Amino acid sequence: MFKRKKTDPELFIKAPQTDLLISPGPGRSGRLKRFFSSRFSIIFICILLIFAVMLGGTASLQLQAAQISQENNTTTVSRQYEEVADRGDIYDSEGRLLATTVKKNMLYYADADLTDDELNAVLLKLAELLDYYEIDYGHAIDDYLDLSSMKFAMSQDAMIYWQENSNYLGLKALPDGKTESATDTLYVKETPQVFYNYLCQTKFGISDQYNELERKKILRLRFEIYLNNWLFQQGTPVEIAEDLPDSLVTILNEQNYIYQGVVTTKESVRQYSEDAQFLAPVIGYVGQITSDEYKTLSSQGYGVNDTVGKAGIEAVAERYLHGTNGLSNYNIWTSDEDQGEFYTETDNQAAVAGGSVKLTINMDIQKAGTYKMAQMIDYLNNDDEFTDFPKSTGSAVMLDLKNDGAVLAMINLPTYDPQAFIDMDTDEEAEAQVENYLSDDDGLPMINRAIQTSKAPGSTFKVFTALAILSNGVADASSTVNCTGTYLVDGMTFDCLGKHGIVQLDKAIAYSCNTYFYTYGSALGIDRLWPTLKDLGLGEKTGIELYGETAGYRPSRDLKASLYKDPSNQLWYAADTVQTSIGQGLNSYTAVQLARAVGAIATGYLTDVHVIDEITASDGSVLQKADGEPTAIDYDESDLEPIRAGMLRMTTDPESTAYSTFVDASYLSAGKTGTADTVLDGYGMTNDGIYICYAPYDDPQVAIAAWIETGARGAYISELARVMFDTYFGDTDYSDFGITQLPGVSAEAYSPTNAD
Amino acid sequence: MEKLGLEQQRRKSLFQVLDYWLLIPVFALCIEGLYVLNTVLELQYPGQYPRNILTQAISILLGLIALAVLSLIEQSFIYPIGVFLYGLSLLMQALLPVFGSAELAAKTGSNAWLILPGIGSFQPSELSKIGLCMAVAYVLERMKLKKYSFKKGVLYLLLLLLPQLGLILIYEDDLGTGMVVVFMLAVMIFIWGIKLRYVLLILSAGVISVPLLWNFALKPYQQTRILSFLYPNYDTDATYNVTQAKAAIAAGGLSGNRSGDYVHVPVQESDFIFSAVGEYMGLVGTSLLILLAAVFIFRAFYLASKLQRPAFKYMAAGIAAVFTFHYVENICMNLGLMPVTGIPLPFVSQGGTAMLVNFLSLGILMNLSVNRNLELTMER
Repeated sequence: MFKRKKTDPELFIKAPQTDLLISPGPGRSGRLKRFFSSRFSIIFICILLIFAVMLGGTASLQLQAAQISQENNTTTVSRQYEEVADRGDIYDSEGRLLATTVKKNMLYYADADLTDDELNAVLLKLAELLDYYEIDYGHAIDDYLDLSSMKFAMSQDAMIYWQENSNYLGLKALPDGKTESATDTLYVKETPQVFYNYLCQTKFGISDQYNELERKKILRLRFEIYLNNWLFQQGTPVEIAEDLPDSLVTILNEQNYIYQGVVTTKESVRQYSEDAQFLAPVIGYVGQITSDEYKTLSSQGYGVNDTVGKAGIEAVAERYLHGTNGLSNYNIWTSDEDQGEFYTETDNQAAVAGGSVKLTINMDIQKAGTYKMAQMIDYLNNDDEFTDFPKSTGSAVMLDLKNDGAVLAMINLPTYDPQAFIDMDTDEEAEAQVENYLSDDDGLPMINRAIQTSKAPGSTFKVFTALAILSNGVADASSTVNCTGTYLVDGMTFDCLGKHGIVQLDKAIAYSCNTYFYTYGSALGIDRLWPTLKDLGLGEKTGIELYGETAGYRPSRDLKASLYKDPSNQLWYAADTVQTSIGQGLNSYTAVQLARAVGAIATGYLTDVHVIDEITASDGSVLQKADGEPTAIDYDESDLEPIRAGMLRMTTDPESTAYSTFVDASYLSAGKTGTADTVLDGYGMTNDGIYICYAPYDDPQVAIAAWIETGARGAYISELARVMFDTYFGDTDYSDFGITQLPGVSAEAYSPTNAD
Repeated sequence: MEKLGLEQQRRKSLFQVLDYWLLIPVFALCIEGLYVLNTVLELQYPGQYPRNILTQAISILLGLIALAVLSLIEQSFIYPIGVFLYGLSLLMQALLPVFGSAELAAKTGSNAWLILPGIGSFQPSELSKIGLCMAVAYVLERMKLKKYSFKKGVLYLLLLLLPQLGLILIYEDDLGTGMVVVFMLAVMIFIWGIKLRYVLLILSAGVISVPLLWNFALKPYQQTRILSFLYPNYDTDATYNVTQAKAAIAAGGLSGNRSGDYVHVPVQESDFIFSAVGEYMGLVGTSLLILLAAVFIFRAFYLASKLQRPAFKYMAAGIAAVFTFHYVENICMNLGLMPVTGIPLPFVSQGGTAMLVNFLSLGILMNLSVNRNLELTMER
């Protein structure tokens, strides 16, 4: 492998005469003599001595360890900061992350008892390091003085007012005949340059040895600290910069004897996934704790800087999501000998992360439905007939009938981007978005319309009237009515949509014949109608976990009496019953109520409604698990079955309005369309489309209620139900229907305020 | 006949002629180092763990390969390798002002870093220690054999030394490596046989030059390091690292402290790894480390004392001196017994360049030892 090369004969010496070792003598004494006469002996002895010293040095340190660690324990910890716990995650039913917590490195500066010169030197080093890493810092001065153009950032008057009246400088007005000066500490500085010099020289003692660029860097940091001076001197570190890379934190901590007073911590920040905006009114958002919230929550260990849930699940599950804050000692290296101690981390109290919430929402259905609804709203918004009307809004709910009314989708449009509430401090566009979300424009994207908005159900209500008619024996499935297109009661004429001729129940539902329900509704009477509505949960809160649910209202003599002052208006007339039985009049229900009621018609069981599936603590233990059971409604199958048959005919009879929507569906569904006439204040007459349905017909698994305002008809809304069913029964494949941005999310107002 | 015999012997009984007194302590040091480094990185640098521990393990593997190659090659290759290493280190150092990494310079405060494509960051001054050692050994040999006159020899030595030492001390501002080189030269010249009166002369010259060096050669921070070593209360900032290292060693007690509450020591993974050995393995670990280092260094000097050819003798003594200086200075600065310089603990500290160069040096020693053993077996 290796070839022998010819060696330089001159250098190849086998046994040089000049070797330092003298020739070996005989016996032990000879060897000793030989050893000590060699220069290596000196080296060996030196090494032996040095290594013995090293061994002794470490042994003496380590054998007194017990003593030293005792001393450490008696050192008192003078400074602590609150370590905010990680907020728990929010998932959808398939475990897809909707909201999580990310860690951000924060840079604080704490009082290290330095002189002006020392402080300025440390801050310059810090500023240059931050510049090297291209991290923003010290923009507080920009609000007062523009350092690049050397002009005041506010008007001259405002600047002088600030100098005189804020708690910071407390300067007096410049007396006549006196010229301003950077060195006097009494009077107002009227020109920017003098003000700048005053800050540098007099206020912060920035030495002339620094060049202009360096002075400005120091000034930025000094001013930032100065505005928080009171807290700073109390020992509270001042925030200097955020979002530092880990490598920078390592440098700062390793060289903390150079960067005296620098404290780095990690801060938790809420982060919503991109999909969160599809579900924003349900998820809600978080924000800084308000003073009122702090008053009630401080007893539960909340701090003044805590983040709390403000709406939706974030607010409802606050006590699970928040976690328990910890206490950390922070160490700064100071030149002050008394305080120049580093504290061990033994006294720290670790923060406990919050629990995670798993929702019942399936984001595939939620997204498919939202995209479809956005497409439909887009179409309606461009409808010429309603151009001057506010833009459409809509809501849809899908309940899992096999799982006690677990909410599989809760769609609301317009919606918002919860991440904007997190980014608003640093991002102008996000700030504009939030401003718009919270404005009183017609859009109101923050509302969870599915539970907070109740609407006239229109013809979908006929399904519930039918149940009251059958169960009270007013008519049976084979009873007929002759529809001539009009119906007379108390001298008033009520119209039907067509002339349906001889009509039985299933045809009445499928063709939405008003005459049938006018006739038997009158025979039934209001006093026998409303108990059925109550049994179906209409006009009752469903008890969903979310805040702000409205009960809506259902018709009754008492309700009418309570609504009107004039005694003659308080009376219940026969015409009221007629109107009521087709869903107009004093009917107003939320989407979630309608979905639950249609589920009850489908199965004979009234479900609870819940959107939280499971809450898991950070240690993995399950804190809460949805395990309710639906309750049977007290109605005979023989009364329910004809109604279901009528709803099936709605989607299967070629002459009914929902037929074309479901003609090629792979499952059988039963539904009822509704179109409610509404008068919009200041706009005029329009109509809302409503659709309620369930599927599959013979073994109902899911129920949907959906509505879209302004210009929509019930049959049109059935297309939304089709998309949601398809996603539920089919693969998770869905289309975005060409929608790139959801209504309401952008920074522009959702609805025009009808300015012209 | 002798040639064939040597070759056969080399192939047949490599494991018989290997110097286990050198190998075993080094292996043990590497293992102890990996164990402690793993603990430090895991506890204190979660972001860099386990990537950096893998880098370290890979450096050791590469080092072992270099060691194997150097142990196996013919002794006649030592001379060209010496010339090559000296030339390479000089070239790379000369390239520093042009190609040196500004980013690493800003981070570490030293201009001594090159970024090599595909390899990563590299400190050429590490290589120059061994290059200089080998080159100087050959000059000293010629002086010993009267091939060169004394004056000519000194001239050659200065020509070899000044460019490298100048770059190290002045451009790279690396006092630690400079001290290593000077100590190495001192030991080599001492073994070479300098007359004791010259030793005294140099010593007194050194004493006289201290004030001059202090005022004109040392940077303020270097002065601070030395002052704060002599007077621990002189500047608390500068003693912080040592105070923390001592606290960490003390916290280890007899058998180490693995409770998770660690004492913060800056750069504990490299220059201050001895404090981590103390902290996590206690007195058991530190005394093991010191004993292993002692065995290794004794064996290296013993080898030097036994080698016949002068160049090899000086070379072995020089390499042994470099290791000695590293171990003694590093351990003593951790214990607060010597001023702080940026000198790592060989085979233990984190650092790929240093690990490779240490194995290169060990390879040279091993080659000298293996060939000596071969000659001994031949003679028998």
